[in-house]
Amino acid sequence: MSAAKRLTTCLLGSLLLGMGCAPARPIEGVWRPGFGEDPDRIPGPMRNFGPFDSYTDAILAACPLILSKPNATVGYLQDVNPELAKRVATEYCAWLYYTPEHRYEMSMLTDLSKLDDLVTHKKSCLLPTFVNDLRYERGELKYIFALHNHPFGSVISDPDMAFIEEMASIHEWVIKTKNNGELLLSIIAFFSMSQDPALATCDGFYQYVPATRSMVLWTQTQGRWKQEVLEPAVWQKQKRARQLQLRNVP
Amino acid sequence: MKLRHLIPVAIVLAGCMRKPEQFSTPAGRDRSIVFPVSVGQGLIEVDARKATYALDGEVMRALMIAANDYIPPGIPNPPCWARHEALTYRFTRRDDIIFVYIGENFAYCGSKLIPMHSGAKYAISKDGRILRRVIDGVDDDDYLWSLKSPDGGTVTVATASFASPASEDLDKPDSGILKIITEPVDMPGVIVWQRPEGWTGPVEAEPGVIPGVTMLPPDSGYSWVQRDGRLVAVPQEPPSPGLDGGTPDAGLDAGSPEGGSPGDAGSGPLSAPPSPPDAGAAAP
Repeated sequence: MSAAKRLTTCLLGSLLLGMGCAPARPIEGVWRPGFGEDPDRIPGPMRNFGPFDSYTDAILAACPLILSKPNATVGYLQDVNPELAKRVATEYCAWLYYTPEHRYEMSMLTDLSKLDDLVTHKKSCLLPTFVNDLRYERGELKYIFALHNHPFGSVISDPDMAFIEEMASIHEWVIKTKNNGELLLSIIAFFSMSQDPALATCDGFYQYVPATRSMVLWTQTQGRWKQEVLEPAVWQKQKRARQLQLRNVP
Repeated sequence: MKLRHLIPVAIVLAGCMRKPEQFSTPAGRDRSIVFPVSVGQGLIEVDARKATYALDGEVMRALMIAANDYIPPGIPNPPCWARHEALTYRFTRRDDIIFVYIGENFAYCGSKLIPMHSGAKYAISKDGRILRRVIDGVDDDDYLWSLKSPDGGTVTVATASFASPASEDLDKPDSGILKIITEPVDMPGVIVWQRPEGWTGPVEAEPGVIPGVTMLPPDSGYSWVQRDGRLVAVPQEPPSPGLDGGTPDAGLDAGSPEGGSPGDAGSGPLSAPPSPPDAGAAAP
């Protein structure tokens, strides 16, 4: 590594470490429940985002937006300083939803891992179950994609899949759109392979669809998208927390 | 320097005081260790109300190491989720390595919300070193694949990267296969991936067309039916050549909620019979 590069890395590291001890500043578009707010309802829509007529346009817009948030991708740090990468990596999550106007909107993002996440840094995102869009009644919104980023570019895992299945027990698995279109609830994890923290390119995403039990890896190279489809031949699900609690009741 | 000069410095330093941090225990990255995929003779749930259990010290220490790594001690007034009693533990021992799986019991703390991913697994030596730690969503895990073997059977293999090896490469040294799994796969949390029936390779989308995958256009000629507990796309009638060029309204613009995108009507994701890669997709 050249001296200049080492200096840059060192400065970058110091900066990030400095951020670690600075009080959390609001990030544009990122919501954390304030006092008296329902933590299970994330506000929407996101300002200056959409609405879109197609969900693909919405995904395309959401991917770079989420990946551009602070420390949404840390691949560039992983080789240089894996401990720092682990400390600063941040996951953001949001709902992409379908409105009675037949348009696709995104909720605000949240970066909360725990509502009282003040003592340790966790890497998972806590997505509220519902969106609070004051223009509509609660039951009028349809939930389509649970969006989030994987700062390390990791594959959708058992807990990710369990999360969307849990959501599928609350929201519809199959969403009817206008003219009898049918859309399936799924979870999406965006990733970037960029080595430049200032330029987090949207390089693809993993998508798991509980209704079809299929996992798709979408990758983009210079505007061309490729898909690879996989399905779980065996999935030994972990016991859900609710089951555990019920059993613990004497 | 007077004391009052030190106060601002002290305040700044106090603001920067390191909080107890998760995953701060030094951990090896021994990728030669593959986590067990089988529970062995059974997954036994300890219910101390019904029976009495004895635990050896090495296992106990491994559990403590994992718990303290996941939720470090010293958190002042820890909230419910940051306590060891709000975690779940699973362990098994293979020779000199104790494997510990930590999960989060969200409901224990009365939480309706669940994180998208959580938990970690540890391979800990009997002398108390973390040989390998896989934090969900952070560390590279191994991946399991179910491959069709030449004799028509299936074989399960583990790889270090998320790329399915080809079954004809099974015997090759550069196949990427870490291990051929011969034990039954019944460890909770384990997923074995496979290519869908009729898979012919990655499908390239038309230039300018962006994916989304979950839409079944009403005019696709397919419909979803429930089969083996999941939705499968089946043709309503034999696909006509008219599908090939896409429909005038299909695509990203002009209300593509009903248009669709690559893979919507045909290939892979919906397990529909193979169709032309551009079925249902329009040019930009």
